[in-house]
Amino acid sequence: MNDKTRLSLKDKLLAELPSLRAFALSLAGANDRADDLVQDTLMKAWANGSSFEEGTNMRAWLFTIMRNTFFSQFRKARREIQDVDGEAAARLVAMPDQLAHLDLVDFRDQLDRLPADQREALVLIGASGFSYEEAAEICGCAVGTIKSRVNRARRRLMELLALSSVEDFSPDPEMAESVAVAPLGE
Amino acid sequence: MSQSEKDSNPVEPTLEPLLQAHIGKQLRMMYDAMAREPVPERFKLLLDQLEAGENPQGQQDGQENGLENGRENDHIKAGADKAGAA
Repeated sequence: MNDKTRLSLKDKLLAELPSLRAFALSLAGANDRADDLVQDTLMKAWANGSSFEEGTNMRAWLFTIMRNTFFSQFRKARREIQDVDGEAAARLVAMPDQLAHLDLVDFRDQLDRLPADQREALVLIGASGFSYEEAAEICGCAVGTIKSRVNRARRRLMELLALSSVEDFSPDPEMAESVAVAPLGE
Repeated sequence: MSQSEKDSNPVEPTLEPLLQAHIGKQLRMMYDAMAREPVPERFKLLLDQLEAGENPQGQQDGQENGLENGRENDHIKAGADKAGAA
């Protein structure tokens, strides 16, 4: 009996691996860290397999384990998690010259600039297909908190994108120069 | 060159729905691409090990079914027993 649930747990975990990896990459960014996160999550899920309630959402259960693992490591790494917002804002202010190059940076990098809790909320809602209620459950917070994190994440990304699109439409001095010089050639 | 949009907000109102849609699309494309990446073999091996009852971390002995490997699990087992009794 126990063997049977074990077997199906393995199958379910295998089936969820691609999603788990996508979520880990969204949270942790760097590949090594993301894969360590997947490994930790699998081991915890296996050890706690008996606490998974049949009929409930396996993916939500796994994502909960993963994000709790990630944020507890995150907290250990830097104690002031409460101020991730202010910190990110400070970073934004401190990098005006980098903004000029944003059009060369892909969406991924812009997403990585967001505070981890906002990035998490945006990914859960906008990409993983969870409802606000499910995301709130996964993150252990109120639905309103998820909504405000998603809104702040969207706003910040929009600001970054708006700035980079302004860059796209501004005249390129080098191009203007080369056009001006070209007709002189015989 | 409309003068009606002198806002301190860097995002113009007319741009917003477009940018929202753009963000949503980019986000899903990025996520789907990550989910389509081939899963590294190490995870399948890990699950095989767990299934075989080997403890991949090799700290404590957890032969029976991989569950009895540490304090954390005892705690969870206790919780599960309690839940079962309720």
